[in-house]
Amino acid sequence: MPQIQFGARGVRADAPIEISGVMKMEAPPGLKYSREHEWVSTEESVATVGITDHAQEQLGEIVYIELPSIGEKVSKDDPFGVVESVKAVSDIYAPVSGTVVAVNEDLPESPEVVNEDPYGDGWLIKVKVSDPADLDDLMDSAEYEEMVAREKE
Amino acid sequence: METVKHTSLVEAHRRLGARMTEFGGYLMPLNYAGIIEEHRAVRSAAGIFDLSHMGEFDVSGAGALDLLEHTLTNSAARLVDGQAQYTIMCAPDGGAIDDLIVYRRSADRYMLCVNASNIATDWNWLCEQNHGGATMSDRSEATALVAIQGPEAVEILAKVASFPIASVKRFRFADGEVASVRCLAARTGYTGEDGFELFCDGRDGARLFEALLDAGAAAGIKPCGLGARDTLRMEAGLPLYGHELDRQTSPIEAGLGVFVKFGRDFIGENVLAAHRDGAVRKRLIGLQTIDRRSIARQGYQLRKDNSDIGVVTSGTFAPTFDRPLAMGFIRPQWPLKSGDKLDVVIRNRAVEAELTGLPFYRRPA
Repeated sequence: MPQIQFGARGVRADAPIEISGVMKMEAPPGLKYSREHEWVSTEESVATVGITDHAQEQLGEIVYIELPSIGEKVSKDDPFGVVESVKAVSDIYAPVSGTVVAVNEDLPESPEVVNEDPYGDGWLIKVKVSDPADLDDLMDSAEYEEMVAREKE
Repeated sequence: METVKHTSLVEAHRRLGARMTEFGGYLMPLNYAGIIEEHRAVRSAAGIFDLSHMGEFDVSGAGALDLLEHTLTNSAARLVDGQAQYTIMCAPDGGAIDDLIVYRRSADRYMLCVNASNIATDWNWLCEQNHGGATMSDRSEATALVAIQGPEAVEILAKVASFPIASVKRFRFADGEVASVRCLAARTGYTGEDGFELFCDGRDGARLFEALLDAGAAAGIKPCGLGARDTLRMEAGLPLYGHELDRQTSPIEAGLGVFVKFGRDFIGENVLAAHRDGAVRKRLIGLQTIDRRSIARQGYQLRKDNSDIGVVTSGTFAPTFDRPLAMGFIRPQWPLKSGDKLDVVIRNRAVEAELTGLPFYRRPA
């Protein structure tokens, strides 16, 4: 059997799969969620932003991520970055307006972390929120799960 | 809006947890575990694909060979019984109507395997050209097609075939039973690996698919979807209709000149001869982005020295190389060769790329 050397971008054997239309889904309580499938966790006035487990599952294996630089401004509901899976390119939309104060520097080298740990090590950016009222428009986890369930119908 | 068709294997795909997508009018598996994992299974062990969406026509009778000789760029007259041939169907202007495989059962009995999205177009075109009274039958709906590909594929098949399947040579086929299912077993594929494509009665497709999954379990066989099929064929530099081939592209422009046999008066021959002699509008190239990360996707513009020189036709992350690769057309006046730099415009930004030869991947001998 010929041996082929594969690169670092391994894929978990236990990657989530869709079984008979029933989605294995997680949206942790305590986070806020956008209609575009981003999550937000706020501490003081800094919001950490990532994509949800449902979003990473829909995208499939993520192989490329483009993020803004520190100091750039992002506007609520506008794209601030790009996630590419093997099959497709998707914009990531800002759930809040503000200034980027941190970027997950590990992702360009290891984009698969977003698949593996979307709510933890797979965070994307931290934003200094310019208008706290933006957060009021976001959903809680129960509302988000309900929206995802409706999209599945 | 037409309803989406199901293949006879749809329940098996659901059981295996497939993510389904529409392709060529059919609901097909996009992936099961994941595209990269499936891709790697095919390169290192084996993968099994449901390709029942593909179309199958029987062409037989006294006019059969004449019809194929007149409508196809490769010469079916060169085939012997039990041999298969890759070929292209062209319009009079040389544009590709479809690419397909012709199987010669006997001197006056042939099977054609065509792309799902082109079944109706191909059928109508062949009927229009059928002046010699060939008997034609569209078997697409009643036929299942299961491909098993990878270095372990033949060994897996040998365990369950009732005939010496391993002695069937490349681009040859045999009729026989595989896992007690009557098949036409062709040593062809679309992955760059060794393997077979098995045509059988649609009612037997699921049984064949499941039996081969069982037979290959110890060897590490994985069910594979259209996502992995696309990354595999891309690495192998194989054209996909609608990307590297279409009505605006001749087989010569797509780098398929070896499958065009001149001097037979087939449809489009004059234009293809002119293309062969240099009148092409574009030529197919491979390219890779230098940063090893940016993916040049279909439709992205190619530039050189601030001039628009062409367009990407297919681009994806290539698991075997752990980097993105792409194919595209450039205008012939740009004499770029392997290793030369060009730019691909990704989201309004020029990203540096390097021209490469095709195919990207050749299986180890």
